[in-house]
Amino acid sequence: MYGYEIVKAIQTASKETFAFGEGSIYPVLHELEANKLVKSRRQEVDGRSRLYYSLTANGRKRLEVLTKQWEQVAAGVGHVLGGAHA
Amino acid sequence: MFWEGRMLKLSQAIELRRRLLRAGFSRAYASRAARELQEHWEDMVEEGTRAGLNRGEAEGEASTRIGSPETLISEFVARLEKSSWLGRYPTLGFAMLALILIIVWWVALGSAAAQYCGLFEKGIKTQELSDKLALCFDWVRALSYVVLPWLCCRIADRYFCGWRAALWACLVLAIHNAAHFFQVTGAGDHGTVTMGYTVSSSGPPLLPILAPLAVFALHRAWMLRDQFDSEDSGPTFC
Repeated sequence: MYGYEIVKAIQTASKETFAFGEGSIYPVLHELEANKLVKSRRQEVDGRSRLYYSLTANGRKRLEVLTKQWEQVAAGVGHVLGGAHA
Repeated sequence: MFWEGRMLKLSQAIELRRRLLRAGFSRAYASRAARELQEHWEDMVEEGTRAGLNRGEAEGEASTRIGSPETLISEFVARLEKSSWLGRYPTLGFAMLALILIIVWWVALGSAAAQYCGLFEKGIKTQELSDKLALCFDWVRALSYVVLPWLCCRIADRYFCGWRAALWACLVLAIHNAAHFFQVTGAGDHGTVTMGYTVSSSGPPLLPILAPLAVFALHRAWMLRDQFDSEDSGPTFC
């Protein structure tokens, strides 16, 4: 995926919940790349040259860890709010 | 030039590139970041025109959606400067880097020079050896005045550490150069190589101090030159 596609995917998946300056995606991607969690490759598709990003093996592992952490936090918050509403 | 024609469409990309260069990031990286922003903007303009906006409206909408240059630049600088250990601790990191480079330089080139001069061979006259060694080490030292500061500047670029980190490393090298001495003496069958630090009462020599600072200044001037790169430099991460 290239930067524009990633922003579109985030907006679609989050049902446009997150609003941010779309250029802000690049410092994040570049930081991830500097930390070797994603890698990039310039590729020409349909006459347009773009920089495509993909997860590295380390990035995939990190994503799994963060996803588990987030699920625990979200479940915890859900329990707290559920308890408060009960 | 391909780049210039494309870049001039989006003021945010031009401004981003200029500000990243001023912050001390490499030309390759600044151009890459600006080009990506430019491509993103073009995709948004296409999206706008497909949605029925005219070209001017689509461009205005895309420029708003991409974000303000100030916010973007501060995010780039903040995130990338913290992406490496050297960037997080530039004062300690670059002082150590300068010292490590000095040690590696002298171990590598000093031993190569000694080997070249025949220090480890038997039957060579001490005085002759001393003269050759002194000449070789003078060259090794003179080269270090230029090569080591340049390496520090390149490493600061590579790890997004900014120009202040590079200047600090060059200052450490200048202080080292001012006080460092290397002496080869030979008498009879014995020769002596002495190396260390000293402070002269007549003051430090100017050239060894000014050389690293001049390299830093030239490097900055080269990075900030007002000209776009003629080709896409591509990703700068290893």
